[in-house]
Amino acid sequence: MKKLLLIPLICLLVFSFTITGLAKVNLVYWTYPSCKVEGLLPGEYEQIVIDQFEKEYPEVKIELQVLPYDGGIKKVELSILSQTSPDILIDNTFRMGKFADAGLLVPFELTEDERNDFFPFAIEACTFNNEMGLWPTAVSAQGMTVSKRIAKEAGALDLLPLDRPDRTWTTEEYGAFLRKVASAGLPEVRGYILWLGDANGMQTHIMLMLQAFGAEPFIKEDGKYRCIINSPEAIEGLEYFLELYNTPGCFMEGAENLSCFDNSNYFNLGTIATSGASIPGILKGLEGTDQISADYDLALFPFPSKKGVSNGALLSMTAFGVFDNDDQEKVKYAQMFVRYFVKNAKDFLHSQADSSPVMKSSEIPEVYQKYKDNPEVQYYLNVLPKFGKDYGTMCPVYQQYKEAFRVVMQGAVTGELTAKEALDEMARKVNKLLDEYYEE
Amino acid sequence: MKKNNLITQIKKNKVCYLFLAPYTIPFTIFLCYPIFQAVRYSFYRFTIKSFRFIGFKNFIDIFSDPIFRKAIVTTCWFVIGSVPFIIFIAILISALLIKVNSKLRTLAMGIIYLPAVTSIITIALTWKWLYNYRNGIFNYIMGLLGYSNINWLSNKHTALPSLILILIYISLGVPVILYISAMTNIPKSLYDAAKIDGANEWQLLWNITIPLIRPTTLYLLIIETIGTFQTFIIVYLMTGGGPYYRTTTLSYLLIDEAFGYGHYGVASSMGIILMIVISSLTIMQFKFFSKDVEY
Repeated sequence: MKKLLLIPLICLLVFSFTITGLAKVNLVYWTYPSCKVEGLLPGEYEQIVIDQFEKEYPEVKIELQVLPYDGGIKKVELSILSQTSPDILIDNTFRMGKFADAGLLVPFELTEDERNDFFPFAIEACTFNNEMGLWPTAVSAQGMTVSKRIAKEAGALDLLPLDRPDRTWTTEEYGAFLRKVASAGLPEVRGYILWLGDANGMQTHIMLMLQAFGAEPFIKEDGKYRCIINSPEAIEGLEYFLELYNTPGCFMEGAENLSCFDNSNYFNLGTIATSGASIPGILKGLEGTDQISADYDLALFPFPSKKGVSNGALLSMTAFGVFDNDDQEKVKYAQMFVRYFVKNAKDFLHSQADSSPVMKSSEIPEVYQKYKDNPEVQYYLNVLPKFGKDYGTMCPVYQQYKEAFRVVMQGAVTGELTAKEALDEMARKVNKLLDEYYEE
Repeated sequence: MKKNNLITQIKKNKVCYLFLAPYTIPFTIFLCYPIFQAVRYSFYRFTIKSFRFIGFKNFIDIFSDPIFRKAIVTTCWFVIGSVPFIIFIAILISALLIKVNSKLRTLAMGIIYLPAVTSIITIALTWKWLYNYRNGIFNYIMGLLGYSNINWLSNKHTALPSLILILIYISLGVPVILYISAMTNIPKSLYDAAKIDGANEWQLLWNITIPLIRPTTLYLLIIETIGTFQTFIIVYLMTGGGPYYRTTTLSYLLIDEAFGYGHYGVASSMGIILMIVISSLTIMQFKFFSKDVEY
């Protein structure tokens, strides 16, 4: 009887050893539907690259999941809390930075060649606690997009700094432009949309209203951030823009309930003269596709600033992160996959119409090459990034800082708070969050 | 001895327990366990970076937070502004529908019930357009009446009433169905007797119908109060809690604390407070409104 029991036990042991020998390294890769390669659905292009990688490394199996933009970050945070985080994640650096800073990601050890290949700003943005916590993939510059058609119809074209070197301008000039558009009486046309219905793209308003007046969002003391957004410069900036907001026709009414989608919609409909959001479909605009009509006649500028303060642009970077899931084998292959992806997934960068490479060896996307003689594309690629300003994205509570701005601005535009009260409340909230963060 | 009794009891009724198991096991895993965990987390500082016991600090912080107090007031306004109206309008509609022929009644019930089975996102988008500043029908009517346009969802005075109106609209379906069902069960002889005594329609409704549908009213009162206390999605989709916390409900604040600010412990504490408030109100409603009804 004992022998009879022993035989299946031995078989089971042999079988399990065999299984272990053949076992694959299973990786989980989460991405967003940002890669839009023509003819492919979100995630399909990444899957092709994954299949190639798995062919070269048969011991690895990668499971891909495409997260929705709305709610994706919540899923990531919940996965961290429940210790089921993915192995690889790609997202914007200002969201990923928090994870890197908290030590949840495994740093990349760059070779000398890799280090030299990255543009210095990319290394700087992805370095946390003196280590390369993220692997940047692309960067996009965001400035002020203006409809020259509306400017012309409003008789305000000469107020735009089109002939000035690098097209720099002041907030006074921008205000004069908005007032001119408002007074022209063009039906349903407004100068700018301030949207406070969601926190997406809040950095645009912060840059335009506060940093344009010389305000700094944060200072770093002893390696710790402090929010100083209630400075006199910031208050001056907010007061200036609240005055413009209350001037009929300058801003779209009802900012409290407008979202960044409203901004895109109204801008694409041609009823907004200037948009400080990302440059939505600028290349599509040049092509005259369904998003923006060909006669929209876009022109790019940096964000205006008060005289004496340099103009600004938002640099937004995408990066890979590899989570520390207590498995060295997984980490090794995950980092190998990141390097493989960046090297082989050329269409990935090319598909991101408003992104530029962060490595010197990367090719400039085809779409730019097609329009390389267009002055706006030239400006976008060569001039706008020069205005890149630090707008606090690496602060560990950056997301909450944007959300706080959205809420206090609602108080300011409804008249419940003065500019000073609003910014004091914002600084208090953000500093409380920072205190809690460092206390841990 | 007691233990032995319990075991004997279980053994004796094991078939009963077996039949109860398909419900009680998932109930324990998916409801009791999360509630237990939420209670536990409410005493912890629980964020992405830390998990440590802090006693009642979360509760102390919550009650000293003016935004939380504002959210309680707003939630109460939601309940006060919607639940009585839902009940009142549902009784009126049901009393009217009970008198029409069955085909028309079925059609009307279908129309009224439609919002209950329609995606809340579709409803929210439709109402957003109705409230639209430039092209909304409400502002069109305002224009016809000679008034200027209003930013219904952005204005600090109109945002909350605008949401309450939507809440009433989407909540009417179930009460109307239940009331019609309850009214159908009232013996006709009661109405006939009252009519012989000279009662008019209003007296019939007030003195016969309403008292006899009290169990349904109690049920709806509890269900609607609980539902309204948990109002989240309509706020999330329509106003995002704004303008400046004017429409921030407890549930919205709870989600915002958890996923906006990463304060999972604080959010759990808010959840516990919400649970206590809702349970207390339900007990009170039972105490004051539940009386046996005999035909």
